[in-house]
Amino acid sequence: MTHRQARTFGRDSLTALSNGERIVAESIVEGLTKSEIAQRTGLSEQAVNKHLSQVLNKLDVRTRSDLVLRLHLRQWQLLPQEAPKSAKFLLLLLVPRSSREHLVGDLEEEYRTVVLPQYGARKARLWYWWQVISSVVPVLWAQLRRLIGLVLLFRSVQ
Amino acid sequence: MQSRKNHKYDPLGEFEALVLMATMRLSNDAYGMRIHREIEERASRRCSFGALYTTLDRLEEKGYVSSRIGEKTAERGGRAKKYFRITAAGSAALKESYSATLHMAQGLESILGGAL
Repeated sequence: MTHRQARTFGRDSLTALSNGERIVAESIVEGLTKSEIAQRTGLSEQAVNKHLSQVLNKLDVRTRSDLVLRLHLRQWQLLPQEAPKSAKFLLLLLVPRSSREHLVGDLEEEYRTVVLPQYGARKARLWYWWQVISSVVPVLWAQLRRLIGLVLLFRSVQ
Repeated sequence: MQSRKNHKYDPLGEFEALVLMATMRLSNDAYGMRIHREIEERASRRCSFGALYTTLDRLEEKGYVSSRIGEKTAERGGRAKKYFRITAAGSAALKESYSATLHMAQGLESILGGAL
């Protein structure tokens, strides 16, 4: 594998896999043969072959052993499970400390256990971003209202 | 007919009532993620975690829910759960809000009947 190929073998190319291609790639990493994958998934061998060639093509590798080696090296199974770091950082920055840990934990749990298996990595990341953006508005608004309340209270005491 | 004087509790907003009902339904398993799923699945209502926690904080300030810190799990990235429980005041406020909705809906069954 060339340097260029190694460089392009990043998260973007991994998340570019369709669900079918991802299942086939995971099964190859598990050590299943093409006929075993067909048996397990209910796909025809022809469909498995098609998915596999798409995987090899998208991930820019030539053989199945290249694929297994590279997926293991990159700890591929862990990569798509990671929530977008920048979105998480934004949330940690803006949400008050009192509910920060629980909110981020809940979001993480739903992302990993419900959204990711159901919609795949790409849509799950969009879902995470959407949750963060739509969460920031009510949180900031609540903080602003609290601040206004404090200012009014302070002025009424004076 | 109920008069305004009969209302002992702060009137609940629609989303507050949904959150309280979800907390009541989930009983001992009511924490942010489960409440969020319950509202999305049962009420078909999209909500953000930010809106949910803002509402839960407000309900806790009003004394309608109480909370306790639960266990940390791996799928939460090692973060602890925060369990909520509806209080007696919360149940009473919800009952009052539900009763007001029922009174308002009286006589409109032919129009609203298909809503459920």
